Amino acid sequence: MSKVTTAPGVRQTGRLPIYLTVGLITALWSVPTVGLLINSFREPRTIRGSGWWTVFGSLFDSTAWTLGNYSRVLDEGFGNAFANTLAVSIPSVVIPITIAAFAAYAFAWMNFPGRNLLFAGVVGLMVVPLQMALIPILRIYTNIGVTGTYPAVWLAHAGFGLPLAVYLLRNYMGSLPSSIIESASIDGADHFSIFRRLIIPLSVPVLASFSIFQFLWVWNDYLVALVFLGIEPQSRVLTVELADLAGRGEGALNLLPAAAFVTMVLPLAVFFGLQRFFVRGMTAGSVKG
Amino acid sequence: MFVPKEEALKKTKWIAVLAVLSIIVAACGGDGDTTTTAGAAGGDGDTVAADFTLFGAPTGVEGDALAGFVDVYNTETGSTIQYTGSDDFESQLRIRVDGGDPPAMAFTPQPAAICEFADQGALVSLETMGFDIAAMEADHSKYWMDLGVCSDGEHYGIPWFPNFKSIVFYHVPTFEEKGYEIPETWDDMIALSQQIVDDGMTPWCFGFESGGGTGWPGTDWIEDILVRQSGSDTYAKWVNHEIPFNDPAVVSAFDKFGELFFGDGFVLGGAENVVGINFNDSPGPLFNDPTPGCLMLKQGSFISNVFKDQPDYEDGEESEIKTFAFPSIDGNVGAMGGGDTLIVFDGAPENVQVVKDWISPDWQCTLASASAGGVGKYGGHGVEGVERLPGNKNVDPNCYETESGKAFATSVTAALASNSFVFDASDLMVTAVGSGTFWTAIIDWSQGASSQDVTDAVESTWP
Amino acid sequence: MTTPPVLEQENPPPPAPIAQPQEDGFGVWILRVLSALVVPIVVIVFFFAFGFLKDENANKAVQVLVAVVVGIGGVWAMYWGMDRLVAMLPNRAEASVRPFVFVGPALAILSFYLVYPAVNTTIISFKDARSANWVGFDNYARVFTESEYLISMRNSVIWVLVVPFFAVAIGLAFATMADKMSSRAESVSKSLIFLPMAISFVGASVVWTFVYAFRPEGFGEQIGILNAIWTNLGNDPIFWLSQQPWNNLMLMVILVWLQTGFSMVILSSAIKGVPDVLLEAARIDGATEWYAFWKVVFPSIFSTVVVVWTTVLITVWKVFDIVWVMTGGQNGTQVVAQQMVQEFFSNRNNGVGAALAVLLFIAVVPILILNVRRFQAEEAVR
Repeated sequence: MSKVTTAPGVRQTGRLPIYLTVGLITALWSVPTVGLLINSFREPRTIRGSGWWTVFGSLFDSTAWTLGNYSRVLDEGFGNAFANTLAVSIPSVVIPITIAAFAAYAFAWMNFPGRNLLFAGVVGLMVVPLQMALIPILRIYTNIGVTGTYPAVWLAHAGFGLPLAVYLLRNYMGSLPSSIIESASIDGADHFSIFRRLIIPLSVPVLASFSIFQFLWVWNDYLVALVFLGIEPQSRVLTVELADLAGRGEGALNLLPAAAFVTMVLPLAVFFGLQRFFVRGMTAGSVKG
Repeated sequence: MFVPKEEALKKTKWIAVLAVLSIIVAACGGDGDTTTTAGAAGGDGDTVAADFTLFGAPTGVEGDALAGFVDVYNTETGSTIQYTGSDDFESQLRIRVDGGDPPAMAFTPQPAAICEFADQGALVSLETMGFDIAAMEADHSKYWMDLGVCSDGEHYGIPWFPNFKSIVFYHVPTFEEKGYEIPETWDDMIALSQQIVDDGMTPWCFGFESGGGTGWPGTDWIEDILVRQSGSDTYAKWVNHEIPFNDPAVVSAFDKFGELFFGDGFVLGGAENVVGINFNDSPGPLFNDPTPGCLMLKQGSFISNVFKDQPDYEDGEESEIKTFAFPSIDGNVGAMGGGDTLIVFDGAPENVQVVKDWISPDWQCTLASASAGGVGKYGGHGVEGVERLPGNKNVDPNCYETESGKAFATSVTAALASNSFVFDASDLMVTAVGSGTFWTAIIDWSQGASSQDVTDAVESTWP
Repeated sequence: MTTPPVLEQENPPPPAPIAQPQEDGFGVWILRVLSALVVPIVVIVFFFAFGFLKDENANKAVQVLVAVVVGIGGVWAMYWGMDRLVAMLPNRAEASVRPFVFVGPALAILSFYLVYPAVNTTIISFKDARSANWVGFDNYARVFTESEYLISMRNSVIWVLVVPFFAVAIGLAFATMADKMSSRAESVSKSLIFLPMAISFVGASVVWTFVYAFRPEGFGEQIGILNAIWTNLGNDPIFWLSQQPWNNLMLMVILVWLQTGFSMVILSSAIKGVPDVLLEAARIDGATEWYAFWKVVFPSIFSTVVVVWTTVLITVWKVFDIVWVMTGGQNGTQVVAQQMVQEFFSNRNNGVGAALAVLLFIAVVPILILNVRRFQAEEAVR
């Protein structure tokens, strides 16, 4: 959490413009979300009838507000979907990050034939569109009879999340000072202990940061869960429930905003919980120098 | 209140990401090399109570009504059938078929899907199940039955219940107050529109915007005009690309639509802005106070679902909006719509019996409305506000509780019987056109491109 | 375009950070492949061997617990076990097999989930719409001649020029400025920029409906804020998403809105890592904040900027859902990835869809080269 501490005189100059600019950008960024939030508490008819900003004219008019959208959303089997989503998400974050950490270490600190080519290949795989991968995988899953199981979804998420994980982790691990690793080597430590005792502790920030991105991605994923897990009410995840609401023309404008906020709660909590890791640094440099 | 939920779904899907999905999985079935022969079980033994899952698209109240219908059937026959509805129906069905675990029975709004599954070997044909094809063609619709004839020449689709799109919503109090007559012909409708303009009002509301599916509401107009102006044979050829998309008949249908669409003062908000109005918002001005912003709207009956969400709607006001049949052109009437077709993956004898029951007039009456109008042998499905049109011409119109339900049922059964019912072309054409360039054509045309140019463009993209 | 990883036979090893033996026999390659495959296979077998993990009705908490324990503990134990096994090999073989114990499981999983589909796609791109007959380069010829694809390529190029630039520039500027604020103000403002990332895509599409919504005369008040502002300035409402070519920019704004949070979070942590002593030194030398940023901070975080830019660029390159949902590619807004999805899944033209996908792969090759060069340069100096 080391803030850049400087001579107060230097810091003070130009602080107001900074606050103003940051405030402006933040406001711009929040406007669309605020609109959604306000609309999630309005009746469908008023959503269609007037802009969300008009509520500021009658902020304390209780008839303008309703919790009905939320109660309808929560009636729609969201409890079960919430549990399903957790059951999908947690292993889908843990598995790829473990595997990626080992690979990233090898790419950064071990030598083997084809290393650069393989690494370029891994980075290149980030561009493979998920949509192209689903069908071949589904065929194989079907043939071996694992479609509709949790492990099938976990491993698929692991596969699709690995390229970015390896790329980010390798970038970070590669920028750790070589002196640490060399001195450990001289002390007789092998790769496995260097990795476990040095690299992993030093990489906690990047591991935590990647975890949240992978978590967000899995939590908000619709495609993979739908295709590999299926649509039966007992196996639906949140996004599938949400899309189900969206499909009903009449509910799209009022139920969707409420549903969107319900699904956002956990990712935001995770973000706030892990924020201290973000602050400490995800990539190169935090240990360097 | 009225049926075609699937219609709304099929289009709004473009709004939700699901579209993507549905498609994705569409491709899974695509290559057809994965095999699932859930074929003719054709077991022996006595007909026992059926026990299977029925899979379909409707959810929400529509789904509740189907579940209610199935419950009544279960109670009567001792079966344990379960209904599962999904907004991702098409993709999910493909997944399950590909996964070797198809439902015993499903019903699809897309006739094109029938033969894909049949050619994959997943479906049981009506011939195999021992249906009397000739009798079915007489009671249902030969046209519709023919949509389920696949490459081996056998029938795979069972018409279950249709949806109706050849209707126009209108504002009853204004019509009564001004003494407007319901238009019987296209020319009457144009004259009426002019009259309304002369009286200082705006006749029509339109809304073509639908996110990624923008344009589809306009295709219904072209289809309704074409089938009346050039006949159902031309319509069928057009759908199957036996005549080019830019055939003079089609160009002339666009031009005919233009008489109304580009009429001076005919369209609320201006014709060029129609592509920006969401179809769910298009009924809004019908409820404006004190005078409605427009008096007429052509849209599938599902649009009444969003009446109560319109800004100026007041309780009970939906009774001021009624419908009339889309008028005739050159003396020709027609009925354009969609419909749900039953397909059978597991042809066990008890399942065959279920199908026979469900298409019978008695059970269709139960499917028709909440109370079956009090005339149903088994009662209604019990969900207020949902009425399903009959897929069998022998269904008693009194099975419907509402006047509009009776009227639609009568027109639809007449159209089925006279074989003049046609399916929404966009459900039948190749998707690249039916859910793609046809929409683009409507968008460009509404912005002022010529009928010839836009139809030429579609023709050039026909795969 | 990606090489089948584990099977590679001949290649002179690159200069090594830690010197290692060079010569590999065939036996060593077998060991490498085996060591790479053991961990994923055991994990997969474990997962699927236990019926309750598959059972959707079983207790979800137990399933998750088992998955996490196996996912972390089990996988670690197996990596360790493999490492011990390899340690028993003769010295030279040990050193050349061990990296594959580390990198192998990742490569094996990637091969199955991404390389195999990519190869499959490449093959399909030379076949017809239903993947039945070979058609040579016909699909590519179509893609490079028909105007709709050319427009989508032009648009995609504009997307990758515009979106990563703004996402990174705004993210960087924001991170730099937030760094100078009180920590509470910083935390709140960063959270708000991050917020869009937490919104599911279906939610995001509704968010932007309330920005771009259009109500012409007669359809009531504007419910989209952009038109509300515009009409208050005395103009007629505009259907923004049909205004070519500006509608493309309107769509890009959505992605910038979504991606800036990502770049801001990562860049912010990189900025935090710039050693204070360097900044102090610059300031003592009388440097302005602006000068200090460009001469001290920016060079220190340059590698992170490249990583973020690459990641955002690839995301942008693959973008299809925004276009798909907002306009369906109408009115000149089509992009390559959206056309690919449309051809492959909607139009059922597998050949053309696959050809577009292959173009997507090929187009990022320069970016890959850039990244590998940069890593090599980095290794040379560390």
